[in-house]
Amino acid sequence: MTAPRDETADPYGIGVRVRGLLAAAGLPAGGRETAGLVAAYGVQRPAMDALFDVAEARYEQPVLRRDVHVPRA
Amino acid sequence: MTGASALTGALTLTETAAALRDGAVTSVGLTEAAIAAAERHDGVLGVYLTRFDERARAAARRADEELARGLDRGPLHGIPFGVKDTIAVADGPTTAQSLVHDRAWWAGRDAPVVARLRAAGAVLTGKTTAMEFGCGLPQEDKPFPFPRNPWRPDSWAGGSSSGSASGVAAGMFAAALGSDTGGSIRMPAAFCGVSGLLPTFGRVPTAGCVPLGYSLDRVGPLARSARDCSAVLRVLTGRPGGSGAPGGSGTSDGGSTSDGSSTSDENAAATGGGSGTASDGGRRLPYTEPSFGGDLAGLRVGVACEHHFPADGDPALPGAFDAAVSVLTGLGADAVEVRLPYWRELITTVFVSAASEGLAYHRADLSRRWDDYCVATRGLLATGALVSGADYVQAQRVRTVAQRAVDALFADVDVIVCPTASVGAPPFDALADAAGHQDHAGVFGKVHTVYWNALANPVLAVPMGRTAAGLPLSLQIAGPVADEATVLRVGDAFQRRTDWHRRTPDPAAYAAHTSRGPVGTAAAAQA
Repeated sequence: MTAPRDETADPYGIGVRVRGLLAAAGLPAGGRETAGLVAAYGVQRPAMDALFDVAEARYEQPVLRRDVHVPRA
Repeated sequence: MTGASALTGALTLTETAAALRDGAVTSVGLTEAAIAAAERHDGVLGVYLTRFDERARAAARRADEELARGLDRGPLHGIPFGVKDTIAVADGPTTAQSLVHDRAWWAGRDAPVVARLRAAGAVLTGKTTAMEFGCGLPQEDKPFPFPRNPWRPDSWAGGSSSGSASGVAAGMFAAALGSDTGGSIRMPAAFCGVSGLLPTFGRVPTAGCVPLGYSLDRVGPLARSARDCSAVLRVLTGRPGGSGAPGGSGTSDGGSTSDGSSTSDENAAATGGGSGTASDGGRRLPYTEPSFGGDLAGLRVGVACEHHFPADGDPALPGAFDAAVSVLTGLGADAVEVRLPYWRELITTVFVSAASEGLAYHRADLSRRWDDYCVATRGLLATGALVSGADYVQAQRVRTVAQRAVDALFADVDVIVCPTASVGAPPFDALADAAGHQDHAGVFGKVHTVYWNALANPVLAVPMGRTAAGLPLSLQIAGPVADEATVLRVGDAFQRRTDWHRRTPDPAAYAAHTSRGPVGTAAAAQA
């Protein structure tokens, strides 16, 4: 039996997600900093999702560039 | 005239260069004045992390000797400079204002931009304060100086090229190098009342500059005037210094350099231990000498206001901005309101790019030495863990779209002007949110530099007035890709009709200041 989730405090599971991503990256953020990152993520995630709503970018190339060189002998 | 009156008075770099050749000042006199100013005021202002007093004196003596025998390396010859401590200088270690940064990185070597300054005869006075890795905040329990604003020492100098801006304002050098990933040249220039240029992306090599965001980082000058920035830019791009009195020839070239290296992006060599040699993939940016005359007849000025005047912005900003636009139209320019496309999206792309690219560089160190990083630095970098690969690539696709839209906008206008920030220099206690991170819902949301970092365009920040409390306000002048010439021409014309860039803070305002935070030393900074 699992404990009921506190949907009021974290209705979208953002806190769980942020803590998981930080842990996966090996970043030992403490409580106050994690709380700040969770709060910021609540704003940042929709902003990042909105980038996928830019219709003009649908078939666009990213700003990525490889420097290709012929290796010197 | 004395060296002190040239540096702390109203003379610009180019005017000081002329005074050197007239014999009104000497490089030794300028350098001694710079050192004396640092001795008196650096303990309060926190301009330097490391000073090179004796090496600077030797360089100044050499400059005077060379000029006396007719060897003129151009307008930077004999001029005291500061270099942001994220940029490698052979004379001392690069700390990036961090306990974490590897002191062996580029040790004993000059970044290409520094080598070019040195070859142009510049006198390198020391390494200036920077927010940690270009993205932290002042933090009292770290052994680094607090970068105070010379106009009001309880306020921040801005960042991350903090000391480069405050040192120019306080007369510790005539010009400095900074770097700009989200506004780190233009924001401190704005808060300290000096001029700062974000060159076209790829114009100035970034090799030997500690990276923050590979696709965003640019190196550029801070100085009193647009014309000063032009003189420094010319050298940073590897072009010969020319005569001591810089003039606009109006000529263009395809990017040839005096040292045979590339004028284009050298990011690939900046990742640590790179060769510092050219890596431009054959793409070179056209370079045109600015034509300084003061007449803007027929110039089309786009005026961007939509996001720059929040209700809680400084009450003096609208009047100052209107007055600045009136100066430009009074010089013959035609002003038309423009809307900057993809505003919110581009700000998001800079956050996504900087956090992701920064985390890639720092992740191993962050996991091992979390507590050695400043809270605000690790807060920004950790955000990169919350960005997916698809988010990152999509951000770069949106940047492509937006660049095309802004390029199209510049078919209708020659430059775009907007405020650099909606507020003046903030007090230190207004910088961080409850978590200790940069407060983007507060002060950092009122700094309007970030949009342009997502693009490749050049942007100049020049002083344009005063806040209601008497602190500097600033105007951004953005131009088409590779057209620094027009941006600098407009900035110079504006500064021919205004004197905001000539106003200097009263040393009495900070001389008596009692330091609130710890004031570090070079030795501590290098620990």
